[in-house]
Amino acid sequence: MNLLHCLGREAGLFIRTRSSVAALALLCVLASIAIGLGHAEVQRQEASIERVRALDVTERESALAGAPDFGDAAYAAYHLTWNPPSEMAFTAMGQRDIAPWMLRVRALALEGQIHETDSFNPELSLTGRFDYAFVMAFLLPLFAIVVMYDMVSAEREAGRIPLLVASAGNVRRLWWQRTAVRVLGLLLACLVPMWLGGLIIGTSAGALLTASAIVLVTVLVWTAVILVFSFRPWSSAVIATSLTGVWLTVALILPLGGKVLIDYLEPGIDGAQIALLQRETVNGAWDLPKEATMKPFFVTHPEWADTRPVTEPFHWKWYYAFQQRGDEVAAELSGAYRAAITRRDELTGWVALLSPPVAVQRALQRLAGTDVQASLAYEQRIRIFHEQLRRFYYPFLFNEEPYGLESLKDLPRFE
Amino acid sequence: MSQAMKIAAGEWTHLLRTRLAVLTLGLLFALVAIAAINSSAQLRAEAAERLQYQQQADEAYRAQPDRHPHRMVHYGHYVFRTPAPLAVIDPGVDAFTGRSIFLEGHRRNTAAFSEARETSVLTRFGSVSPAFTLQVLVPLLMILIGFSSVARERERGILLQLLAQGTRGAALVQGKAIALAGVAALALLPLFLSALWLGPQTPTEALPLLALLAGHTVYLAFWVVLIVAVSALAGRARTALIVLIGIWAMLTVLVPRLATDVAATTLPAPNQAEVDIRLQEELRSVGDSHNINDPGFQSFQQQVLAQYGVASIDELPVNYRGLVSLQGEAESSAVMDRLTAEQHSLQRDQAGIVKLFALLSPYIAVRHLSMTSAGTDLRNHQQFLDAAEAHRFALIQGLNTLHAEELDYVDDSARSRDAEAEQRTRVSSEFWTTLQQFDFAGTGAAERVRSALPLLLALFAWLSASALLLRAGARKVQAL
Repeated sequence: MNLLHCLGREAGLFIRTRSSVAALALLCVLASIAIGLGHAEVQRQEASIERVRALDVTERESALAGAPDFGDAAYAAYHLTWNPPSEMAFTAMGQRDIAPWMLRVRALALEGQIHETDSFNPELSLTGRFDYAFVMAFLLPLFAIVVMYDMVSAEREAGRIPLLVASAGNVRRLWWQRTAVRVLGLLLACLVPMWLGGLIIGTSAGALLTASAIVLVTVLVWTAVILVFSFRPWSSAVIATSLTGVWLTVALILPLGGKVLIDYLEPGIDGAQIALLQRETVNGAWDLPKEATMKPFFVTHPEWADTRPVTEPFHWKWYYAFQQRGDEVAAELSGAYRAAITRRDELTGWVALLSPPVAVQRALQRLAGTDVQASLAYEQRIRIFHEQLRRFYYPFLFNEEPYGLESLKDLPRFE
Repeated sequence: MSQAMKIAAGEWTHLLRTRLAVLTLGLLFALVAIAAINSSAQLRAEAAERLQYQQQADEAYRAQPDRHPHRMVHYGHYVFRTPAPLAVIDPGVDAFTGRSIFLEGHRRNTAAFSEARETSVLTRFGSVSPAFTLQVLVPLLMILIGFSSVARERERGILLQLLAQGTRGAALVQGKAIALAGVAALALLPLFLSALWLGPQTPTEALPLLALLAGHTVYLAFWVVLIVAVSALAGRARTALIVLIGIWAMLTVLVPRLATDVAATTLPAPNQAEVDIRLQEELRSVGDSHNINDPGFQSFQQQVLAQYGVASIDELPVNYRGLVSLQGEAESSAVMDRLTAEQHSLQRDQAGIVKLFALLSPYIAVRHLSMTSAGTDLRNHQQFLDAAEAHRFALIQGLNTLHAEELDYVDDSARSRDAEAEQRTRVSSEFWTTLQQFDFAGTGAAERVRSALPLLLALFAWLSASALLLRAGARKVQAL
């Protein structure tokens, strides 16, 4: 008997177990719903970005048109930055319902702007989205347990083991074939919805293959865990209890324990400190001699050191210099803040080694560009853009050029 | 001893003799206790930290030197949210909302720096709190302990013996339920202990605390009854287990997420950037209050001149620039308040959709009951934002009033060019020491309990439904 034939026979037997087929069909339906909802969310986000980008252009035009000078123009003109959903974002929403993916900035001190939160509904964030990564992390293992836990014990409890030994000859091969059929069923239920979703959107095959590999590894890891228990000489009920206990431990208890541990190991920096420091520096400048701002500013921006000194109580170049000083003074704390977030993320990687649900969420979010690193990278792009923006205004401010809309046609664009 | 109590005692003897059950019981108790201890330690640290930040911000404000009042408008102030006393039991949405707000003139900022953004993906797995353990983890552990309570006896043929000896089916399932209720009581014990500890510290919270206890008790009672009912109805123990895990996954994991997506899809919320742009467009029609010649303030000028009976603004007994600031802030705040109210009401509608799913999942009912009672729900967060806004508006208008009453119009107009005039426009730093303290008490206890009551009724409905199932189970046992 060739292998294919045997697998075919096992598949036939499996399909006739109605409960297992129903379980796989349900898994497939849930994965499809998740893909559909993820797709709808991505479209909504794309439409929102497109709409706000158009609004942003007209809004900036009216802001610039009404400004009397470059200082006022830089003060009034906001620039939209955005972080579009990637081609795989429909599988894992990740940080996109807690960290902003659109942010408007202007040439003022960035530390006072970059930590703004979007108006996400916290009650929705609390639960999290029903995305594909969620199905793979939490539901897939439960379904895998349902279709595989009693593979051996059910036969034993029905007294069929001697019969199987007699008819199959090599029982071990028989178990492998049964496992293979179930793994295949699980993979089909999970992967078909994702591939269909990906093909409709036009996701690249490479990304879909990588995601498939992540799903494959998840299924294999859980299969291995389930087999360890299902080959024990225990009753079906005991095996199912133990497996549920394992799932509960790795899906909920370990991640929560890990969180407590990480909070302890890496307490992090309270963001409010950055905001307070930046604000003290920026506002303190009003009461200091102009020199106290301009001198350190010229150290980091020597190209403007030779321009006319500020003698009047107020001048825009002094104003933007102390905005920049605010950022410079807060830079160290702000960097430490981001470093703490990165270290927490790294520590989470260690938790992922012990917890497949954490691992699969991280892997899919990484692939979808919706993880912590991706939101920090977006923040970095905003920083670079802000740098371009303020440096664009400096020549007009420091050379005290007369205001003209013509000069603003080369305003940096966020791309 | 009644039949039911005998059965219950027998079940406990069996549980204590089973290694797996003892292990699960130990795990269950440890989890609830650890969650309670961790949560209270963390919260106390956080409350102390917030208080310290608030004091620091207050002191910094009071210590500002002599200044032009409009400088203070831009210097602004910070307020920090201190956790609600009952957040020890249920932190609710706290991890997902910003913890501090910068209050300044011309703008209504949102709360910044949420815990969820600063920590890792692990925050999304649930909170280490008594509420989360009791609502999600404990039911699953109770399933592992109780799924076989009746089914096991049936498989081993003991059920027939018991019936032959005259045990009634109803007494049997009641006994099993009483035994499992003991497990639930064990899980609830830390909650009751912390209530005994919290109650005297915060007497005003007694009523919400009671609602919390009642909600969790009814919720766990629902699970006790459901577990025994399914165990009685299922032919085999493993069927009972699979069915129960399926129900648990659906009620506590699947339905809440689906509810979230349904809410977000049926009522899509605009992005903050979009709201801000709309706001800016509307504010442009209000005018820029830094510029007294802004067309937006022409009619205001006529009105002021008429009111004081003078021909030009330099004849006014008050500083016209300050009046424009007052007027501009009032007009722009009205626009901002309207747009924020729209956003808040949309978010509450979204939460309302989620709450409707309490009809599909008792977990949603108990979660909302718990958050509402603890004062850690969306509503309370919005009230914090509104309270901070009221504080901001009072602070800024106080400064603008100084601007109008304490400053000379001519000096104020020349201050950007004339250093001496600039010196004269600085008001005494003594004014800054009158800063009002920001006190946010949160939603009143009575109101919280009132909005929690319908959810308690929903939980009772779930309990009744499972009781009907248990009766069917008892009949099935009797019919053997």
